[in-house]
Amino acid sequence: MSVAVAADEGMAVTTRGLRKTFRTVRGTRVAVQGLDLDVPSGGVHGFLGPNGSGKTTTIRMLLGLSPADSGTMHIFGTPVPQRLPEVVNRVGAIVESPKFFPTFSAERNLGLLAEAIGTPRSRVGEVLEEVGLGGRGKDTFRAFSLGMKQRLAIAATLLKSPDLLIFDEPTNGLDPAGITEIRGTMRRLADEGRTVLVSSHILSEVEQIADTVSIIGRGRVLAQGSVAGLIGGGGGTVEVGVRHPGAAVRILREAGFTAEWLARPRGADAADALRGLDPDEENGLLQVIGAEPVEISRVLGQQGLWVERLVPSRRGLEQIFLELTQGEGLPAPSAHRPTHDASGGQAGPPPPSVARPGGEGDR
Amino acid sequence: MTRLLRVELHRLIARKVVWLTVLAALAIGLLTVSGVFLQARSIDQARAGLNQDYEQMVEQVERDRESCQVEEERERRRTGDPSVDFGCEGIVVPTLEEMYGQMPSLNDQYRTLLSGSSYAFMFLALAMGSTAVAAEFAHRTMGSLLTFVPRRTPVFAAKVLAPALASIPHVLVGLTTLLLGIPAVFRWFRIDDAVTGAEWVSLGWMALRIITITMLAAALGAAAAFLVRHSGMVIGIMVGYLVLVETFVAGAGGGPLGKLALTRNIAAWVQNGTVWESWPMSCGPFEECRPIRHELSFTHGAVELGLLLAVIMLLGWLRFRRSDLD
Ligand SMILES: Nc1ncnc2c1ncn2[C@@H]1O[C@H](COP(=O)(O)OP(=O)(O)O)[C@@H](O)[C@H]1O
Ligand SMILES: [Mg+2]
Repeated sequence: MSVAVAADEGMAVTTRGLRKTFRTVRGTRVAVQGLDLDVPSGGVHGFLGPNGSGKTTTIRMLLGLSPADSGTMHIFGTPVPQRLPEVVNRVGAIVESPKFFPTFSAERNLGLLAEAIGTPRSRVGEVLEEVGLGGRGKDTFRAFSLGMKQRLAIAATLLKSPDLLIFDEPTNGLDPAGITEIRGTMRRLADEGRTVLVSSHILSEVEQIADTVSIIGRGRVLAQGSVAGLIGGGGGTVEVGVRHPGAAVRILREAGFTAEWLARPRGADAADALRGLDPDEENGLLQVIGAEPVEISRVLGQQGLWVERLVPSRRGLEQIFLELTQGEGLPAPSAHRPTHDASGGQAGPPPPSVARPGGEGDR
Repeated sequence: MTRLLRVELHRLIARKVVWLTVLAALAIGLLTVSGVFLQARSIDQARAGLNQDYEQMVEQVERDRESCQVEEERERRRTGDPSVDFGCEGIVVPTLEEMYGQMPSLNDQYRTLLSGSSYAFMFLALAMGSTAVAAEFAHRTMGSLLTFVPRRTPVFAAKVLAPALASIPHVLVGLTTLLLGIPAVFRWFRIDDAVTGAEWVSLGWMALRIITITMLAAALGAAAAFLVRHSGMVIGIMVGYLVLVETFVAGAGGGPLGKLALTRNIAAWVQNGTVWESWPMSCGPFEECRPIRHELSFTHGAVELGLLLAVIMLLGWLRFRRSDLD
């Protein structure tokens, strides 16, 4: 049964049961299967998933570039693609690589787009300034570096002064300086009050600037929510370094937590060998899901196990990402379906949620 | 819609295809005019070179006729039959025009050369229309335009209409080159000919029909590029059609199939009805073998070409409306 969605202005983007199958010469390929995405209004939302997980396909369906097989999509509460023309001026998007006429100057490329949407041409100079291409308007697109092309594409999306910006892997192929620059631009756009939906197959690339994330794999949402929530308490993951990890896992499980003895961190063996420690029994690494760091240290401390490392960390989220998207490894967490209706009138990002791939969520 | 059309025209003009077609049409016009010039010059030279000999030839022919008549008279007297006829009246001096050929009238030149070059103008328009649209698919700018203007039907309409309008400059340049160049050649060689008022009216209509069919060719090229998404493919299909199908269809003579030939229908449109001849498959042993005359009306041409355009436009639109775009 599909969930009825109230037209929700608090959400920039929602999709329900979104499906898309490609027919190729080698048969059919399901690119998106029952995707339920929630992108809250305001802030940066990281749309994460490995290559081929259906990010671009989803974005193209949202923009009306590709018809969906089934499911519903809303942008600012307006059903798309049916009523896309009504909201299109609130949405700026770059899908995959920036596309312009290679022989036209930056100004002319933007000028033609400005004309198409009835924006005064004076906007062109302004948006070029905004992305730091002020002096390069007369150069041809062809002559631009990849980073400049990407910034020009961002400038194009700003022509409409949009409330929602959709960037599909905007840092692909950029050097570190370019990546930092684009990241800064996205953060600034969000701080101006816009919603930025940015897709990536590299978590670390958006983690620093994202307020909320959704992680998808094989065309469906595996987890979504606020970054803080996913890393910290609630459905988050905490990485625990402790002696006697086997005992620690048992204690934590008895206390009702979801805990797993992880592979040892890279380089740990060498470090332990130097210190003369037994790599098998001592100084192990656990992953605990759905618990506050304080509780973990309390529970272990009561049993005389002293926590050496406690990282509600980046690695935790990365772990979720890697394991969720590889569709293996993670013990069943206290999973609940992404909440479709709960966060209706709530301010701030929705609570995080984790869904198992191939779990009870199948329709 | 008008805004989209204006954008499309700007895109086209900025892409330089319009200027290239104008240059090409100018080249075609100049080539045609230089063909007329060469024709006139060869006639002129032949006439000048043979002018001195002409008087001798006239005298020779006079002498031949006189001796023929003398012989004839002698024979009549010998037989006593006044009806003896050696056909001496047939021995006449050919005029210079008969001997060295003559320039067709200015009006005839206009008609054949305008309708002949119209195929070239149409080809340019078709190529322009299809490259303009195919380039958008190749550079993937179609998708990014649609993220700005998501209504596909107006986008399609603007992209089909814009090349049609943008083909007006080149066909005008081509026609003007012919209309000014051909009489200039006549004046150069002091050939005294003029076009009457009625002929001008008829030529004006012909020019108008050429302009419209050129515009339709541009729209057809654009619509076809929406269908196959590659201008080389559009042109390839057209050339392939002309070589493989059209020759066969046109070869079917005056039958129902022969009347479907695209080139004939184009001629029927441009020339306001066309005629052609075909030879019967076999002539009976005692019949004289005569060519059969066929006619194709303007209306037939208009209906067939209109249907073709409508079908391609519909298919192009259907494919574009539902398709995945990058
Ligand atoms: N036009 C297409 N034709 C066939 N298969 C496609 C097409 N576009 C995408 N796919 C397939 O759909 C899946 C999702 O692709 P995509 O949305 O591009 O993933 P992502 O952007 O997350 O890397 C992939 O398996 C890809 O091969
Ligand atoms: Mg992609």
